[in-house]
Amino acid sequence: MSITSPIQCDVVLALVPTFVDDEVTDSVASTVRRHLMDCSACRNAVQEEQTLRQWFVAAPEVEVPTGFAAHVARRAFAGDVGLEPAPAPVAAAPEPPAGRVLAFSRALVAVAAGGLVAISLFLAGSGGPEVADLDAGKGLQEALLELEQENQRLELEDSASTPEEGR
Amino acid sequence: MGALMHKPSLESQDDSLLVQGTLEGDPLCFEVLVERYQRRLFGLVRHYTRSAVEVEDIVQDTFLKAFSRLETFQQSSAFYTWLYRIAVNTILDFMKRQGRSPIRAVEDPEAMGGSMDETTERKSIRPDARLEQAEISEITRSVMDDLPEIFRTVLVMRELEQMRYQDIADVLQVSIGTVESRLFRARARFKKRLLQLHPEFAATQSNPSDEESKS
Ligand SMILES: [Zn+2]
Repeated sequence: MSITSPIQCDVVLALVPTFVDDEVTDSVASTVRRHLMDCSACRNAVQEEQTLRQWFVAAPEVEVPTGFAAHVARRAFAGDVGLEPAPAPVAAAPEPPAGRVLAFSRALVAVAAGGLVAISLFLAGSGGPEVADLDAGKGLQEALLELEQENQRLELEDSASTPEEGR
Repeated sequence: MGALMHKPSLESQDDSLLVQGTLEGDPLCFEVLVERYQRRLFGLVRHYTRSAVEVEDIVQDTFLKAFSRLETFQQSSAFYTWLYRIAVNTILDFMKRQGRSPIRAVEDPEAMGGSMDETTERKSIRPDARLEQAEISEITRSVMDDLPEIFRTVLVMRELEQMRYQDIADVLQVSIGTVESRLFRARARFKKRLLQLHPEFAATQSNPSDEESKS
Protein backbone atom coordinates (compact mmCIF):
# COMPACT_ATOMS: atom_id res chain seq x y z
CA MET A 1 0.00 0.00 0.00
CA SER A 2 1.23 3.46 -0.75
CA ILE A 3 2.20 6.20 1.66
CA THR A 4 -0.67 8.37 0.46
CA SER A 5 -3.14 5.91 1.96
CA PRO A 6 -3.81 6.84 5.53
CA ILE A 7 -5.82 3.69 6.06
CA GLN A 8 -4.57 0.13 6.10
CA CYS A 9 -5.56 -2.61 3.71
CA ASP A 10 -6.88 -4.89 6.44
CA VAL A 11 -9.17 -2.12 7.64
CA VAL A 12 -10.40 -1.48 4.11
CA LEU A 13 -10.88 -5.17 3.38
CA ALA A 14 -13.02 -5.54 6.48
CA LEU A 15 -15.13 -2.61 5.27
CA VAL A 16 -15.56 -3.85 1.70
CA PRO A 17 -18.95 -5.60 2.06
CA THR A 18 -20.54 -2.69 3.92
CA PHE A 19 -18.90 -0.23 1.54
CA VAL A 20 -20.35 -2.04 -1.48
CA ASP A 21 -23.71 -2.20 0.30
CA ASP A 22 -23.51 1.59 0.68
CA GLU A 23 -23.90 1.21 4.42
CA VAL A 24 -20.85 3.15 5.58
CA THR A 25 -20.90 6.83 6.47
CA ASP A 26 -19.95 9.35 3.79
CA SER A 27 -16.62 10.07 5.40
CA VAL A 28 -15.72 6.38 5.63
CA ALA A 29 -16.82 5.91 2.02
CA SER A 30 -14.57 8.71 0.80
CA THR A 31 -11.64 7.40 2.84
CA VAL A 32 -12.15 3.97 1.31
CA ARG A 33 -12.46 5.46 -2.18
CA ARG A 34 -9.21 7.36 -1.72
CA HIS A 35 -7.50 4.16 -0.67
CA LEU A 36 -8.91 2.27 -3.64
CA MET A 37 -7.34 4.72 -6.05
CA ASP A 38 -3.93 3.61 -4.86
CA CYS A 39 -4.50 0.00 -3.99
CA SER A 40 -5.32 -2.58 -6.62
CA ALA A 41 -5.59 -5.42 -4.10
CA CYS A 42 -8.45 -3.70 -2.31
CA ARG A 43 -9.94 -2.68 -5.66
CA ASN A 44 -10.02 -6.35 -6.58
CA ALA A 45 -11.78 -7.17 -3.36
CA VAL A 46 -14.43 -4.57 -4.14
CA GLN A 47 -14.79 -5.93 -7.64
CA GLU A 48 -15.16 -9.47 -6.34
CA GLU A 49 -17.79 -8.31 -3.89
CA GLN A 50 -19.68 -6.66 -6.76
CA THR A 51 -19.32 -9.75 -8.93
CA LEU A 52 -21.13 -11.89 -6.40
CA ARG A 53 -23.99 -9.40 -6.33
CA GLN A 54 -24.53 -9.91 -10.05
CA TRP A 55 -26.26 -13.16 -9.13
CA PHE A 56 -29.04 -11.24 -7.46
CA VAL A 57 -31.13 -9.76 -10.21
CA ALA A 58 -34.23 -7.72 -9.70
CA ALA A 59 -37.29 -9.92 -9.64
CA PRO A 60 -40.15 -9.11 -12.00
CA GLU A 61 -43.00 -6.94 -10.75
CA VAL A 62 -45.06 -8.55 -8.05
CA GLU A 63 -48.57 -9.46 -9.03
CA VAL A 64 -51.07 -9.05 -6.24
CA PRO A 65 -54.41 -10.71 -6.94
CA THR A 66 -57.21 -8.23 -7.55
CA GLY A 67 -59.30 -7.53 -4.50
CA PHE A 68 -56.76 -9.12 -2.17
CA ALA A 69 -56.83 -6.33 0.43
CA ALA A 70 -60.63 -6.18 0.58
CA HIS A 71 -60.78 -9.96 0.87
CA VAL A 72 -58.25 -10.04 3.71
CA ALA A 73 -59.96 -7.18 5.55
CA ARG A 74 -63.30 -9.01 5.31
CA ARG A 75 -61.81 -12.20 6.69
CA ALA A 76 -60.02 -10.36 9.47
CA PHE A 77 -63.17 -8.62 10.61
CA ALA A 78 -65.03 -11.92 10.37
CA GLY A 79 -62.75 -13.22 13.10
CA ASP A 80 -60.29 -15.25 11.03
CA VAL A 81 -57.01 -15.18 12.93
CA GLY A 82 -55.00 -17.18 10.45
CA LEU A 83 -53.34 -20.54 10.79
CA GLU A 84 -52.35 -21.95 14.15
CA PRO A 85 -48.60 -21.89 14.66
CA ALA A 86 -46.79 -25.03 13.56
CA PRO A 87 -45.94 -27.50 16.30
CA ALA A 88 -43.56 -25.96 18.77
CA PRO A 89 -39.88 -26.51 18.10
CA VAL A 90 -37.64 -28.58 20.31
CA ALA A 91 -36.80 -25.67 22.57
CA ALA A 92 -40.36 -25.49 23.83
CA ALA A 93 -41.05 -29.22 23.73
CA PRO A 94 -38.26 -31.13 25.41
CA GLU A 95 -39.25 -34.35 23.67
CA PRO A 96 -39.05 -33.95 19.90
CA PRO A 97 -41.75 -35.87 18.06
CA ALA A 98 -40.44 -39.05 16.53
CA GLY A 99 -39.59 -38.73 12.87
CA ARG A 100 -39.07 -35.00 13.10
CA VAL A 101 -35.70 -35.04 14.71
CA LEU A 102 -33.90 -32.05 13.35
CA ALA A 103 -30.22 -31.99 12.67
CA PHE A 104 -29.55 -29.51 15.40
CA SER A 105 -32.01 -30.83 17.95
CA ARG A 106 -29.50 -32.50 20.20
CA ALA A 107 -27.42 -29.39 20.45
CA LEU A 108 -30.52 -27.31 20.95
CA VAL A 109 -31.83 -29.52 23.74
CA ALA A 110 -28.47 -29.35 25.40
CA VAL A 111 -28.40 -25.59 25.48
CA ALA A 112 -32.13 -24.95 25.70
CA ALA A 113 -32.33 -24.80 29.47
CA GLY A 114 -29.58 -22.25 29.91
CA GLY A 115 -30.04 -20.55 26.58
CA LEU A 116 -33.71 -19.78 27.04
CA VAL A 117 -33.10 -17.91 30.24
CA ALA A 118 -30.01 -16.15 28.97
CA ILE A 119 -31.59 -15.07 25.73
CA SER A 120 -34.84 -13.91 27.22
CA LEU A 121 -32.83 -11.90 29.72
CA PHE A 122 -30.83 -10.53 26.85
CA LEU A 123 -33.95 -9.64 24.91
CA ALA A 124 -35.55 -8.09 27.95
CA GLY A 125 -32.43 -6.08 28.68
CA SER A 126 -31.75 -4.84 25.20
CA GLY A 127 -35.13 -4.57 23.57
CA GLY A 128 -36.61 -1.64 25.43
CA PRO A 129 -40.08 -0.85 24.15
CA GLU A 130 -39.60 -3.36 21.32
CA VAL A 131 -39.91 -6.25 23.73
CA ALA A 132 -43.66 -5.94 23.93
CA ASP A 133 -43.74 -6.42 20.18
CA LEU A 134 -42.52 -9.94 20.65
CA ASP A 135 -46.09 -10.78 21.55
CA ALA A 136 -46.77 -10.08 17.90
CA GLY A 137 -45.63 -13.52 16.93
CA LYS A 138 -46.45 -16.53 19.01
CA GLY A 139 -43.62 -18.74 18.01
CA LEU A 140 -41.48 -15.88 16.87
CA GLN A 141 -39.58 -15.93 20.13
CA GLU A 142 -38.93 -19.60 19.57
CA ALA A 143 -37.85 -19.05 16.01
CA LEU A 144 -35.61 -16.17 17.02
CA LEU A 145 -34.20 -18.30 19.76
CA GLU A 146 -33.36 -21.03 17.30
CA LEU A 147 -31.91 -18.56 14.89
CA GLU A 148 -29.80 -16.86 17.50
CA GLN A 149 -28.54 -20.13 18.89
CA GLU A 150 -27.64 -21.33 15.46
CA ASN A 151 -26.02 -18.00 14.82
CA GLN A 152 -23.99 -18.17 18.00
CA ARG A 153 -22.97 -21.69 17.16
CA LEU A 154 -21.86 -20.65 13.70
CA GLU A 155 -20.06 -17.65 15.08
CA LEU A 156 -18.18 -19.92 17.46
CA GLU A 157 -17.33 -22.25 14.61
CA ASP A 158 -16.29 -19.42 12.41
CA SER A 159 -14.07 -17.86 15.01
CA ALA A 160 -12.55 -21.27 15.67
CA SER A 161 -11.69 -21.84 12.04
CA THR A 162 -11.71 -18.69 9.94
CA PRO A 163 -11.62 -15.36 11.69
CA GLU A 164 -14.14 -12.92 10.21
CA GLU A 165 -11.48 -10.49 9.10
CA GLY A 166 -9.12 -13.17 7.97
CA ARG A 167 -9.88 -12.71 4.32
CA MET B 1 -61.71 8.50 12.85
CA GLY B 2 -62.18 6.07 10.01
CA ALA B 3 -65.88 5.33 10.15
CA LEU B 4 -66.72 8.67 8.64
CA MET B 5 -63.91 8.75 6.13
CA HIS B 6 -63.83 7.63 2.54
CA LYS B 7 -61.16 5.43 1.10
CA PRO B 8 -59.30 8.08 -0.91
CA SER B 9 -58.83 10.24 2.17
CA LEU B 10 -57.69 7.23 4.17
CA GLU B 11 -55.03 6.46 1.63
CA SER B 12 -53.11 9.57 2.61
CA GLN B 13 -53.22 8.77 6.33
CA ASP B 14 -50.26 7.66 8.43
CA ASP B 15 -49.98 4.03 9.42
CA SER B 16 -50.61 4.95 13.04
CA LEU B 17 -53.96 6.55 12.23
CA LEU B 18 -54.98 3.57 10.14
CA VAL B 19 -53.99 1.21 12.97
CA GLN B 20 -56.07 3.32 15.32
CA GLY B 21 -59.01 3.27 12.91
CA THR B 22 -58.74 -0.50 12.54
CA LEU B 23 -58.74 -0.95 16.30
CA GLU B 24 -61.84 1.23 16.44
CA GLY B 25 -63.53 -1.20 14.07
CA ASP B 26 -63.23 0.34 10.62
CA PRO B 27 -62.55 -2.41 8.04
CA LEU B 28 -61.64 0.19 5.44
CA CYS B 29 -58.71 1.36 7.54
CA PHE B 30 -57.35 -2.15 7.63
CA GLU B 31 -57.97 -2.62 3.93
CA VAL B 32 -55.89 0.47 3.19
CA LEU B 33 -53.08 -0.82 5.43
CA VAL B 34 -53.14 -4.15 3.58
CA GLU B 35 -53.08 -2.36 0.25
CA ARG B 36 -50.14 -0.27 1.38
CA TYR B 37 -47.94 -3.26 2.24
CA GLN B 38 -49.30 -6.18 0.24
CA ARG B 39 -46.90 -5.63 -2.64
CA ARG B 40 -43.84 -5.67 -0.40
CA LEU B 41 -45.01 -8.77 1.43
CA PHE B 42 -45.76 -10.65 -1.79
CA GLY B 43 -42.29 -9.60 -2.91
CA LEU B 44 -40.69 -10.97 0.24
CA VAL B 45 -42.62 -14.21 0.44
CA ARG B 46 -42.20 -15.26 -3.17
CA HIS B 47 -38.51 -15.87 -2.54
CA TYR B 48 -39.42 -18.80 -0.33
CA THR B 49 -41.86 -20.77 -2.44
CA ARG B 50 -42.49 -21.14 -6.13
CA SER B 51 -46.20 -21.69 -5.62
CA ALA B 52 -48.32 -18.57 -6.19
CA VAL B 53 -51.07 -20.10 -4.07
CA GLU B 54 -48.70 -20.60 -1.16
CA VAL B 55 -47.36 -17.07 -1.50
CA GLU B 56 -50.89 -15.72 -1.28
CA ASP B 57 -51.69 -17.96 1.70
CA ILE B 58 -48.62 -16.84 3.61
CA VAL B 59 -49.23 -13.14 2.94
CA GLN B 60 -52.88 -13.48 3.90
CA ASP B 61 -51.94 -15.35 7.05
CA THR B 62 -49.46 -12.59 7.89
CA PHE B 63 -52.12 -9.90 7.66
CA LEU B 64 -54.66 -11.96 9.62
CA LYS B 65 -52.12 -12.51 12.38
CA ALA B 66 -51.23 -8.83 12.35
CA PHE B 67 -54.89 -7.92 12.68
CA SER B 68 -55.52 -10.31 15.54
CA ARG B 69 -52.52 -8.92 17.43
CA LEU B 70 -52.90 -5.29 16.48
CA GLU B 71 -53.49 -4.32 20.08
CA THR B 72 -50.00 -5.49 20.97
CA PHE B 73 -48.42 -3.29 18.31
CA GLN B 74 -46.38 -0.55 19.95
CA GLN B 75 -46.78 2.71 18.12
CA SER B 76 -43.19 3.53 19.07
CA SER B 77 -41.95 1.10 16.45
CA ALA B 78 -42.65 1.20 12.73
CA PHE B 79 -45.73 -0.70 11.60
CA TYR B 80 -43.82 -1.90 8.56
CA THR B 81 -41.07 -3.47 10.70
CA TRP B 82 -43.61 -5.09 12.97
CA LEU B 83 -45.53 -6.47 10.01
CA TYR B 84 -42.35 -7.82 8.41
CA ARG B 85 -41.47 -9.55 11.65
CA ILE B 86 -44.81 -11.32 11.59
CA ALA B 87 -44.23 -12.20 7.93
CA VAL B 88 -40.82 -13.73 8.67
CA ASN B 89 -42.37 -15.66 11.53
CA THR B 90 -45.18 -16.87 9.29
CA ILE B 91 -42.68 -17.94 6.64
CA LEU B 92 -40.62 -19.88 9.19
CA ASP B 93 -43.80 -21.47 10.45
CA PHE B 94 -44.71 -22.43 6.93
CA MET B 95 -41.28 -23.97 6.45
CA LYS B 96 -41.77 -26.05 9.57
CA ARG B 97 -45.12 -27.28 8.31
CA GLN B 98 -43.32 -28.40 5.19
CA GLY B 99 -40.92 -30.32 7.36
CA ARG B 100 -38.18 -27.78 6.85
CA SER B 101 -36.36 -26.43 9.83
CA PRO B 102 -35.84 -22.68 9.76
CA ILE B 103 -32.16 -23.28 10.19
CA ARG B 104 -32.02 -26.47 8.23
CA ALA B 105 -28.64 -27.14 6.75
CA VAL B 106 -28.50 -29.50 3.85
CA GLU B 107 -24.83 -29.01 3.37
CA ASP B 108 -22.24 -31.41 4.55
CA PRO B 109 -21.93 -30.65 8.29
CA GLU B 110 -18.17 -30.76 7.87
CA ALA B 111 -18.48 -27.77 5.59
CA MET B 112 -20.47 -25.77 8.13
CA GLY B 113 -17.44 -24.40 9.91
CA GLY B 114 -15.06 -22.52 7.65
CA SER B 115 -17.42 -20.34 5.72
CA MET B 116 -14.88 -19.13 3.19
CA ASP B 117 -11.91 -21.35 2.65
CA GLU B 118 -8.91 -20.31 0.64
CA THR B 119 -10.04 -21.98 -2.57
CA THR B 120 -13.50 -20.47 -2.40
CA GLU B 121 -12.11 -17.08 -1.61
CA ARG B 122 -9.68 -17.06 -4.46
CA LYS B 123 -12.24 -18.12 -7.00
CA SER B 124 -14.47 -15.67 -8.70
CA ILE B 125 -17.86 -16.67 -9.97
CA ARG B 126 -19.89 -14.47 -12.25
CA PRO B 127 -22.95 -15.09 -14.37
CA ASP B 128 -22.09 -15.94 -17.94
CA ALA B 129 -22.87 -13.02 -20.27
CA ARG B 130 -25.06 -15.31 -22.37
CA LEU B 131 -27.37 -16.09 -19.49
CA GLU B 132 -30.80 -14.51 -19.50
CA GLN B 133 -31.88 -12.70 -16.33
CA ALA B 134 -34.46 -15.39 -15.71
CA GLU B 135 -31.78 -18.07 -15.95
CA ILE B 136 -29.57 -16.23 -13.47
CA SER B 137 -32.53 -15.90 -11.13
CA GLU B 138 -33.22 -19.60 -11.39
CA ILE B 139 -29.64 -20.53 -10.55
CA THR B 140 -29.62 -18.11 -7.63
CA ARG B 141 -32.92 -19.50 -6.45
CA SER B 142 -31.66 -23.07 -6.48
CA VAL B 143 -28.60 -22.06 -4.46
CA MET B 144 -30.75 -20.15 -1.97
CA ASP B 145 -33.02 -23.18 -1.58
CA ASP B 146 -30.02 -25.06 -0.23
CA LEU B 147 -28.99 -22.46 2.33
CA PRO B 148 -30.02 -22.60 5.98
CA GLU B 149 -32.99 -20.25 6.40
CA ILE B 150 -31.01 -17.99 8.69
CA PHE B 151 -28.82 -17.13 5.74
CA ARG B 152 -31.49 -17.20 3.10
CA THR B 153 -33.60 -14.66 4.99
CA VAL B 154 -30.83 -12.13 5.34
CA LEU B 155 -29.88 -12.51 1.66
CA VAL B 156 -33.49 -12.17 0.55
CA MET B 157 -33.93 -9.01 2.59
CA ARG B 158 -30.70 -7.40 1.51
CA GLU B 159 -30.04 -8.61 -2.02
CA LEU B 160 -33.50 -9.18 -3.36
CA GLU B 161 -35.61 -6.74 -1.37
CA GLN B 162 -32.87 -4.11 -1.01
CA MET B 163 -33.60 -3.50 2.66
CA ARG B 164 -31.23 -1.33 4.67
CA TYR B 165 -29.20 -2.94 7.46
CA GLN B 166 -31.16 -0.98 10.04
CA ASP B 167 -34.51 -2.31 8.79
CA ILE B 168 -33.21 -5.88 8.68
CA ALA B 169 -31.89 -5.45 12.23
CA ASP B 170 -35.25 -4.11 13.39
CA VAL B 171 -37.19 -6.94 11.78
CA LEU B 172 -34.91 -9.68 13.07
CA GLN B 173 -34.40 -7.87 16.38
CA VAL B 174 -30.66 -8.17 16.23
CA SER B 175 -27.90 -5.58 16.17
CA ILE B 176 -26.58 -4.05 12.96
CA GLY B 177 -23.31 -5.82 13.71
CA THR B 178 -25.12 -9.15 13.70
CA VAL B 179 -26.77 -8.27 10.39
CA GLU B 180 -23.35 -7.50 8.93
CA SER B 181 -21.70 -10.67 10.15
CA ARG B 182 -24.67 -12.81 9.18
CA LEU B 183 -24.71 -11.29 5.71
CA PHE B 184 -21.01 -11.87 5.40
CA ARG B 185 -21.38 -15.53 6.24
CA ALA B 186 -24.48 -15.87 4.10
CA ARG B 187 -22.65 -14.55 1.07
CA ALA B 188 -19.70 -16.82 1.71
CA ARG B 189 -22.05 -19.76 1.99
CA PHE B 190 -23.91 -18.69 -1.12
CA LYS B 191 -20.68 -18.46 -3.09
CA LYS B 192 -19.45 -21.78 -1.85
CA ARG B 193 -22.68 -23.55 -2.77
CA LEU B 194 -22.78 -21.78 -6.12
CA LEU B 195 -19.27 -23.01 -6.87
CA GLN B 196 -20.31 -26.53 -5.94
CA LEU B 197 -23.44 -26.49 -8.08
CA HIS B 198 -22.05 -24.52 -11.00
CA PRO B 199 -18.30 -24.88 -11.27
CA GLU B 200 -18.64 -23.94 -14.94
CA PHE B 201 -18.98 -20.27 -13.96
CA ALA B 202 -15.88 -20.24 -11.79
CA ALA B 203 -12.84 -18.22 -12.72
CA THR B 204 -9.63 -17.41 -10.98
CA GLN B 205 -9.62 -13.87 -9.70
CA SER B 206 -7.48 -11.48 -11.68
CA ASN B 207 -4.02 -11.20 -10.26
CA PRO B 208 -3.58 -7.84 -8.53
CA SER B 209 0.06 -7.52 -9.59
CA ASP B 210 -0.83 -7.85 -13.29
CA GLU B 211 -3.24 -5.00 -13.05
CA GLU B 212 -1.00 -2.86 -10.91
CA SER B 213 1.77 -2.81 -13.48
CA LYS B 214 -0.51 -0.84 -15.81
CA SER B 215 -1.44 1.94 -13.39
ZN1 LIG C 1 -5.52 -1.83 0.15
